[in-house]
Amino acid sequence: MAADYYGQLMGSVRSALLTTLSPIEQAATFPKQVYDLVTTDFTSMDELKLENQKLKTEILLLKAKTQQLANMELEIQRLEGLLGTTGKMNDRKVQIATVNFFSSNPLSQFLTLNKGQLDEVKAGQVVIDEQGIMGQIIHTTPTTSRLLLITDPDHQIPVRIQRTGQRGILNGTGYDSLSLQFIPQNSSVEIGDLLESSGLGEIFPAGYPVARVTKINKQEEEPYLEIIATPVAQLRQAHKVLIISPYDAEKKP
Amino acid sequence: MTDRFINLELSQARWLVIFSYLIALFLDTMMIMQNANLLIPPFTLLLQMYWSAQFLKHTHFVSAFVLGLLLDALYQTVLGTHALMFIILTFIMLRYRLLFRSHSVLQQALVIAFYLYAYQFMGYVLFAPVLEETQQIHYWIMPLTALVFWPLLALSLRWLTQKLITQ
Repeated sequence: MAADYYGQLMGSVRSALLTTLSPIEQAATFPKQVYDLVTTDFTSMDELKLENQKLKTEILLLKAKTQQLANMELEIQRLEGLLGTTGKMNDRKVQIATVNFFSSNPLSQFLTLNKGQLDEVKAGQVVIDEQGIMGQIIHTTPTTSRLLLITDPDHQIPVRIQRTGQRGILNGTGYDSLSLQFIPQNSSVEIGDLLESSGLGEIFPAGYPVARVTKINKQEEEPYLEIIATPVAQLRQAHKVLIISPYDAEKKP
Repeated sequence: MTDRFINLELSQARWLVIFSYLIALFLDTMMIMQNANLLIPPFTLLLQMYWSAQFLKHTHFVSAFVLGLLLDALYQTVLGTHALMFIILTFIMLRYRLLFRSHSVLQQALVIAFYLYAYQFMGYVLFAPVLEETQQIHYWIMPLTALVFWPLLALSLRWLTQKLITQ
């Protein structure tokens, strides 16, 4: 327990256990898949499925690029002011993965994806959908990987407020909410402000949308604001997601 | 038939035990995807309790440890916490299993509800789960659902075991 909690030294043991559970997880999703299939209209099902799959893939790639372009304008303004000292947007290698399994358990918030070590997926890689960042890969098996969602209570992500550039840390609080930490009382924050990844820590790429501010509590005796946000990514509905290549891979020529 | 059932050897029903654990893991995995999962007891723990009361010549600590580790991997909790909880509950069951076996199925269900309360309490302390108001209620009334699940589980497994040993 101590080795796993403090040092993540049990990664290989956990991977072995997850590999054992992988067929059970896949079998457990079968009844739901059958239910979905039965409740769907069967008219020209094959044709529609193929076309839909193709279009979804194209849309996902295009929306991911649009996210970057939409942020580019604001990013350039900031970069002009700071003479290029903040993180820059780069084209990254991406892999499309399908969500196989998900957890609605209060103990943890995760998804299982159908790409694993055989597809060169590694722990620490970031996953996004067409709306924004979903989380990061924490464990891999040969054929699957486990994605810890940003809403998990153990998850933190460095962000900045897109409108002002104010940096903070976004903590998962469980289910569909997040808490923005370390924003001083005198900061300019408004309900509806978009929070994007700041790129600090070099795990999450800079400039991707993460969450939107939904509630601000100001308590005079506290030095920081209490800010609640909701993720912009469709954590519960996403079926196809993008796994982004890590920083190291990007820096190589 | 009764004597044979009381003096049951693990080797006589090994495949039934393994298969039942696999089914329990499958059900627990399915439950993780459901919003109502807080109301459903962990089937692996129920099975562990049932089999540790049936086979008197074994301690069942290995199966408790392995099942606990698998649940840790499944729930994404710190490795060893579910294993520890399973072993503690199995240990208590081993101390009282002769008495437990003498109860009727409904009385057993009540005892199992107490075991599940101990399980929930340990889980609450160790994992500090994030629960909303209704989920808190679901979390703490879950052991009572054992009153429904345990008779079904115990009677069906007893029937299967008897079928197996009379073959």
